[in-house]
Amino acid sequence: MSYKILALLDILLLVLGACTAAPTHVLPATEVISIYPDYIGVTIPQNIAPLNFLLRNEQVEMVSVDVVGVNDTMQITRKGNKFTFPLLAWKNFLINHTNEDVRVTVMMRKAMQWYKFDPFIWHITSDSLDSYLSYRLIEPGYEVWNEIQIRERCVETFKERVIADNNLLENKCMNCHIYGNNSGNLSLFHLRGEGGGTMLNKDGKIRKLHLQTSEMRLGAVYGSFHPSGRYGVFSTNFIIPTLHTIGGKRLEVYDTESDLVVADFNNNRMIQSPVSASPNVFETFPTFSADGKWIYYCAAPVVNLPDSIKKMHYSLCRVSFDETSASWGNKIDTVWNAKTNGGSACHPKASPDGLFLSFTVTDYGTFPIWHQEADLQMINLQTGELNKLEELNSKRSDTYHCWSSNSRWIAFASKRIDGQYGRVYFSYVDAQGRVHKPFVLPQKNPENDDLNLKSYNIPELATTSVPFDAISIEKKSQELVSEQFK
Amino acid sequence: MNRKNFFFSIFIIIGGIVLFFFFYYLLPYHFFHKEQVHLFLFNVDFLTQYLCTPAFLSSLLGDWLTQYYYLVGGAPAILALLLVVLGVVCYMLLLPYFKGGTSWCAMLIVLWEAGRQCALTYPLSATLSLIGGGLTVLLLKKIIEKSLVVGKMLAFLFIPLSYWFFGYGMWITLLFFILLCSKWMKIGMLIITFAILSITRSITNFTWNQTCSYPSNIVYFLPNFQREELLKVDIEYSRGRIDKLQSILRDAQIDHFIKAYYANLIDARQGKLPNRFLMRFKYGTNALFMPVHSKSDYLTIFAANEVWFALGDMTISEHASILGMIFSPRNKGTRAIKRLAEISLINEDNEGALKYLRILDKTMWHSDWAKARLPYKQTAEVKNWLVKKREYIHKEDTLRMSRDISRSLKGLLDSNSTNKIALDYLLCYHLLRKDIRSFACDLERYRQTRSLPNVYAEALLIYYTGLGVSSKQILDSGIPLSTVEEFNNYTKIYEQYGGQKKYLQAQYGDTYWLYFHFAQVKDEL
Repeated sequence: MSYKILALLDILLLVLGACTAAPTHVLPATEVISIYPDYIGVTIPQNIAPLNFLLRNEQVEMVSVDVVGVNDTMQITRKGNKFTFPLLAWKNFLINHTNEDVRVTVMMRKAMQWYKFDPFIWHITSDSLDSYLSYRLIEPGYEVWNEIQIRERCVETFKERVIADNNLLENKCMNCHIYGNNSGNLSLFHLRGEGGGTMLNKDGKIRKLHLQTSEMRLGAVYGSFHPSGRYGVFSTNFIIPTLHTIGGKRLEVYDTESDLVVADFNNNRMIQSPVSASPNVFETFPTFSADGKWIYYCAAPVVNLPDSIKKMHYSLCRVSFDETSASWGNKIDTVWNAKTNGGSACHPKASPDGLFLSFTVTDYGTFPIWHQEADLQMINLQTGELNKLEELNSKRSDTYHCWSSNSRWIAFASKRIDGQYGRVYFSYVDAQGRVHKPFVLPQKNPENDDLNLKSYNIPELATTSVPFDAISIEKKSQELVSEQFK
Repeated sequence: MNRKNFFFSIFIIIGGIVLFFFFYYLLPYHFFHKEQVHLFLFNVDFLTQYLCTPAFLSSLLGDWLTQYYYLVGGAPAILALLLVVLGVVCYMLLLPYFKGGTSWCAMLIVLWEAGRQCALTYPLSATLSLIGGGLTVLLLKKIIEKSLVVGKMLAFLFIPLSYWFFGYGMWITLLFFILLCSKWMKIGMLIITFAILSITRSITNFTWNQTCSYPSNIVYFLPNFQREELLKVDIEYSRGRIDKLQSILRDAQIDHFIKAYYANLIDARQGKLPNRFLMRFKYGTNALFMPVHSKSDYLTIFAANEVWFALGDMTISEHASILGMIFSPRNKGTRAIKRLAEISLINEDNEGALKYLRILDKTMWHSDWAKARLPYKQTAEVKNWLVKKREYIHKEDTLRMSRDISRSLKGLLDSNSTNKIALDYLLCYHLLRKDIRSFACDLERYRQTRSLPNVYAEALLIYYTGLGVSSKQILDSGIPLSTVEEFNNYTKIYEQYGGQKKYLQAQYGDTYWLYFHFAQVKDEL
């Protein structure tokens, strides 16, 4: 129904657009194009929502865009400095030009005169992005929160809905919402505070779990699903927030204790690892390999904190996991050595095809969100080759990434625009493992990112929508008693 | 106009004037503050977002009008007018039911609503919602007078429209319709109401309470004149009217830690902190650094940023500004956004500043302020101000807990030893906590001049006496001979009367010695 209404609106907009005078007597622009978001020269999936943008050049009266493909052209003119594509026309154009380069020419009218900027290219790939993206929207408020929502956005349109809202949950803090197998039918998030628990969604059935046993000093924090959906691997962390003195560096968070544990969701059992239980080593950010036979995680020797925080360097390690016997292996491999490579590794994520392992590298520590130097890197698990992903990274924090189900896209949170508010970016990974220039999650109103005072946090991609909403989570959180684990 | 209407009109006009002067003279800062924690943007997409919420019309109008609270007399004029309109609407609604005491009933409703407007969290849109709900009933009654059938049919349409336009004002509409309708229509209306509320809840993620009362958020409130005094101090400081603030604080009793905090801040800016901070010792270190934690209210949290901003610690200032903003009634506000823009500019983070300046550029009153600060287009005055502010910020990076005040201040002094405000705050902080050792160490490390303010000399003398330092060394350290003699005399009286305060109070009431011996160190809030 809503799609039909959108289509009708599209037609209306096209008619209105057609009524707006097309550019005539166009001169070459003498100024540099200032476009937000920066969509110049990007590779985009065939199923992405329109890349609406605004021109920041001064005194723009109208904007006109020609998108020229092999077979046809999309030419639209808009009043003001904001440019939006009609959804239906955009969808058709992308489908008709899949696996092609299209040439985009932006023109602006100033003082009744049209000017044309140098054209740029969009490559439209048939490798689709997973249709749904979830993220936490939160004020970038250092240690505390007030309003938190977990939202789900359809990346093919601009449809967004709230799937958990702390307004309905007695203002409890909600941690990251993660998927298993990029599926909306397998996901979880932690609800903190009294009466909270880990909300596990499996095929629409919601369970509330208490992922801590009497032997465990701390509860589950960062985690990832096993491909079977039966297990989840988690770190248990005692987290300390501190403030930097230099403005712009803001917050540093470190662990004073951390370990790894596997949760068996079928038998309500926590399986602790003897090899990762060393008190002299911090372990965090565990994730399963694509085949579920390995657990990758970050590990660092204990140092005196916070004074020696800059000496705290996490390496990337792995340990085997046997699904049948639900047991950890007893040998730890170092996949990326912090000492030899320089820096500290965080948030490893394996691509679903098993070829790559991507992770964040910062100068030190375990909290890359406010580290301006935080960049994503990727290891080819077959060759061991390290790719520093220079096309993807920026001079600000680039972190908290995830893979699409076809292993062709990386979604990640970046503070590259203003250093404070995170936004979701997508970068294409081609068949050769090369990453392409990323583009930001398109918004219906391209000015939204300017006006929004919330940060996009922990983006996760899924092929299907989750079968719950904020009201059902409110109900379940009140009804359910946390299932205990032993 | 008949005699009755004439007197009624006079009554209304007088009521409006009384309301105007009440708000104008007794609560002006309350409404200035409301503007500071409010954000209304002239942007099509921002405005169209109102359409997606209940009470869109009253919220839109209310938020638009709240901007005018920025002007002197703006809020009193708007509120007096709206409350008079509310009174007239209530009078017209109640007239058929309370013929004898309708005016009194209407007046009581106006007083109740005027009281609620004295709450910081209560929005203007809630008053507009009541007016809107009442006007909807009056409109429908007119229609029913002409055609009962059409009127009753429209009643079903007016319930959802009333909720969409006026939120909880719908309850007025519903109540009057129920009084007018038959049993089955009443049941139908209640079903429609429940359906509307359920749908709204699923769209907005409001709790049931919020869904039923939006945009109102309180039942009743009484004017808080003590808070008005605090807001006066806070707002005058934020507007940079230091002379006015000084005269306010000079005349007023320092009866709250927020007043003491601003009094200390002004004294520090004028280099007078060491001479005066002991006058406000009863508030402990909260009068120097306001607490930022889960039990603090947003007023305190936001005001806490001011001292750090003055000292040069941009991280804690930003931390307090953001927290103050996100815990304020609407989670945003022009004052906080301005401060965040300033902090980004001082940190030479132009992209960060642009985020906030672009927002302010779309406001009615703060657009010019934002334009004057746009990177690469700053006025000379702004550029000079930035250069000065940058001289005092941290140059070296270290980590500290947000309450590790001493470490933060030492970092500022290590970055710029001429940061006199930071030095005074550090030393006075130690003295308030009776941490004489830290005081002496930091004084030794950071002092720039040989001469010492009295209170520092007195405290240093306590330290040296404890160490058994020679008289020569004491005098060499900059402690005046007169202070040493006074201290000897103080000690003599102290010992003579067995350490009884009353014998020392008259002569040594303003010395650090008396504070050190007798004051109870107050725990931080």
